[in-house]
Amino acid sequence: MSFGSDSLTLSIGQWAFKDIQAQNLKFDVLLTTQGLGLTAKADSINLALPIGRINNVNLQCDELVLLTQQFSCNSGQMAFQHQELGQQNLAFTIMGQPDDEKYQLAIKDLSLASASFTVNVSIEKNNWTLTADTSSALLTPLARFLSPYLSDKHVQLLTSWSIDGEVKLAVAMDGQRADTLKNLNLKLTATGINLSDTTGQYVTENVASALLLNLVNDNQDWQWQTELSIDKGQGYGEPVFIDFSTAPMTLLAEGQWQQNTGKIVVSNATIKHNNIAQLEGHFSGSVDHIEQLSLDLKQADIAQLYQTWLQPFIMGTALDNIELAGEVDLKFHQQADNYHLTLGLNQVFIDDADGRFGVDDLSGNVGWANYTHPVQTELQWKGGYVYAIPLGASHIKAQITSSSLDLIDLWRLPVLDGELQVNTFSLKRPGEEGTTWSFDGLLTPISMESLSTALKWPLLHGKLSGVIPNVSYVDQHIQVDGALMVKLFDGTTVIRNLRLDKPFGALPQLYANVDLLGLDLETLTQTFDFGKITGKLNGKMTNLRLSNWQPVEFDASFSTPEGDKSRRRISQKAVDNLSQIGGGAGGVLSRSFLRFFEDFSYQRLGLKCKLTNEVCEMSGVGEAEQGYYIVKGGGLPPRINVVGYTRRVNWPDLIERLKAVSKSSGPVVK
Amino acid sequence: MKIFKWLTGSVTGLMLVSCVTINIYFPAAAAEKAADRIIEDVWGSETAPKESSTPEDQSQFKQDQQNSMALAMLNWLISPAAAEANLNISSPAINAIQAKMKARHNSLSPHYASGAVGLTDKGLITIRDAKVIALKDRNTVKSLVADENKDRNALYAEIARANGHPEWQADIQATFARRWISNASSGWWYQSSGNWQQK
Repeated sequence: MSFGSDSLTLSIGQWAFKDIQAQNLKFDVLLTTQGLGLTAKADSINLALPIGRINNVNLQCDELVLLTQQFSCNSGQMAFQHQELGQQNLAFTIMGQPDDEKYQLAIKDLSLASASFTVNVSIEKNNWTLTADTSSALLTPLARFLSPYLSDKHVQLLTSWSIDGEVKLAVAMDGQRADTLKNLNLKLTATGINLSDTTGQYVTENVASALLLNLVNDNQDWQWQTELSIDKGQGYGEPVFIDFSTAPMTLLAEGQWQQNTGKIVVSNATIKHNNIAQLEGHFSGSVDHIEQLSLDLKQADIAQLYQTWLQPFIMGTALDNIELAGEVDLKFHQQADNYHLTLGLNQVFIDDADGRFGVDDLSGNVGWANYTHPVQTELQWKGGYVYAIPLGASHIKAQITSSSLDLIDLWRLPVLDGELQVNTFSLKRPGEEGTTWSFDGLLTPISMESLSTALKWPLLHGKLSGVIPNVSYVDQHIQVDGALMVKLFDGTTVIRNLRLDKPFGALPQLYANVDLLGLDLETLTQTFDFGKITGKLNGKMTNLRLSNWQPVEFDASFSTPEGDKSRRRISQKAVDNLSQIGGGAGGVLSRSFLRFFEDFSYQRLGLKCKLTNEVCEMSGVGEAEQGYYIVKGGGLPPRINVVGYTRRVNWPDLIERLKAVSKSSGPVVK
Repeated sequence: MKIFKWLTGSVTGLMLVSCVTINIYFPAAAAEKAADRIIEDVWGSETAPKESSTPEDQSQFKQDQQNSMALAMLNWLISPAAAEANLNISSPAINAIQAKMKARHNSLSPHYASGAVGLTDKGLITIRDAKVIALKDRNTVKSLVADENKDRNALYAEIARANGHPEWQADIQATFARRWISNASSGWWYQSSGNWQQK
């Protein structure tokens, strides 16, 4: 210890008081015009955690006031070196009334994470308040700075993210004793936020947001209120992408958090995504358990909602590329694992971009429940289509309970000029996968005129109808039990074992067996402008497979029925066309004397074609020398035989020939 | 007793016949050629000049050939109808799907080059590195990848079905998997036993 004229110098090698220890402490007390001036230096001081050890400490106070009940320092300076805080040069003001346990501390230029903070602390007995603010802090160093104070789990989470951005922060807190926070008010504005996790599942680019958070601690029961708005930049949270610059988002929420039990209550939350969607919700439960959740999506434009919030989740399904118009709303309620929901549709138009299906002016409610709670579904629409087949206006009423839907009333769906009547329809969807449905019904006659026109086929006459005992859908396969009957060309065509695989997939597959009975050849040949043939025709087509609605496989045979009593004549044009199909030259007849006859009588005619691999293996009604009979002459002369010689015909060529035949005007008879 | 012996012999013979005729071999070489034709059409000329098969491929191929030779002999002896197995890749359905894939390739091609999308060892494609795709394009690319895989799976199934052997689908898929990678341009990424490699 030494005394100067107006100063006092105190040097202490090592000094300890409670948790504080100092090395080479040196005090200089000066007498100044304002009072006392103090300079203190220490090589190092160990303070209580979380600060720990500080080195090269320099403290200076020019206006030190020491009174019996109060001390103060109005313009203090302090410099020190700290492992995490780095070199600090702060300005501070401190005032203390030890008898009343009242202290006030104001710090300026506290450098934390490359940002300059202003901190005010005041303590009165057990109560304290603290405010801290900075006009600009960078997120990267801030995250680095916070790491030592976080749990390992949080640090791991933090280091797996790349974090960049700038924040303006103001926080005000008060509490009791060192360990109890009573109130917290946080105001944060952030700009240029770029966040990304390692896999790129969650990313923000150049986001600007503002956050207000208010916390009140009532005996470990935290009441909170928050307000978040994001109005610039882009965000991606798999699979949703949001451009906040064009569609800003706001979140308002309040609730409680019980620290002891971990229970979270969100009593009121509103998320507003520009004019795309507004969602209100309530929640109670914990981080990993839902006790109760209600969501209410206010009426929204379905097109915008689909683009941002629906389409990304249903990618790869039949509904991932549709055009929509109309309005939709949703009410969802969940209690533990049980939920029910009602989706409201208002004048919704659906159009598949690939033209596979569509619905016009669809309105009503679609419900769903995964437990015994009953929900109604009632929908009506003005029209629609499946591929080229138009569907008429209809309505449907069903009841849902325990993940299954059952039709309440008979459902009539107009199809062209007929109707599909569905007596029962039952759908089950126990989980994400494994949707099954089945129905039985009736197809009231659809005219072949309308069907062939819709499908852009040659105009056909007749009726399509049938009883459908059961149609079932399991694992993307539709199976039609029973038989569909088509009254065609005055005969009967029966379609059995009809099966559809992935009807809206990349390559829809259709399988069926077809029987044709007593078709009238005259009507048939007139329809296709083939050249007149009279008589009857029976046929069988087994193992028919259409891939993408084109025939790629079948085993077909058509022939004159055994014991046919009808008049059997075949015209020149038809003979010529048949011989062309069989691979022969056209116009043979017109070059021979037979050209003088208009038609010929025949005993039997028929063709077999086994199509596989683009090749049709052909045969006829009987073997001929080196070939097969397509037409076997008989009855009254003149008779004629048509013999085919080509056994393997390229299917596309055959189709081309058939097309050419129906377009040609036939052989010229001279 | 003699009759019994004769019967056993004939039954064994019959069983052998039925056994061999059912086992139609997978035409590996034809499948490779078929795959290459489709790949060349879908990817166009920008892809790598055709590489000779890797040594591993060749040995596999050799073995297939040996197997097929042996089987062909047997088939010729026993049932000529079953010996010939070729692979047809032209049907309206296959052509339609091939056209769709070809049209899609223009959109996918830059993402192969950037490494965002890679070729899997299952003959499909997948998002390899989402981070190189601009945020706003990510869902578009995801949807392109989903559509492409839907088409590829349908293509493999259809080739197998069209050739009358739905059970060949896995073999066809495996052949395509090798050929897509073999035909890929340099710089593209592909999976090899679970790891990503760059051509």
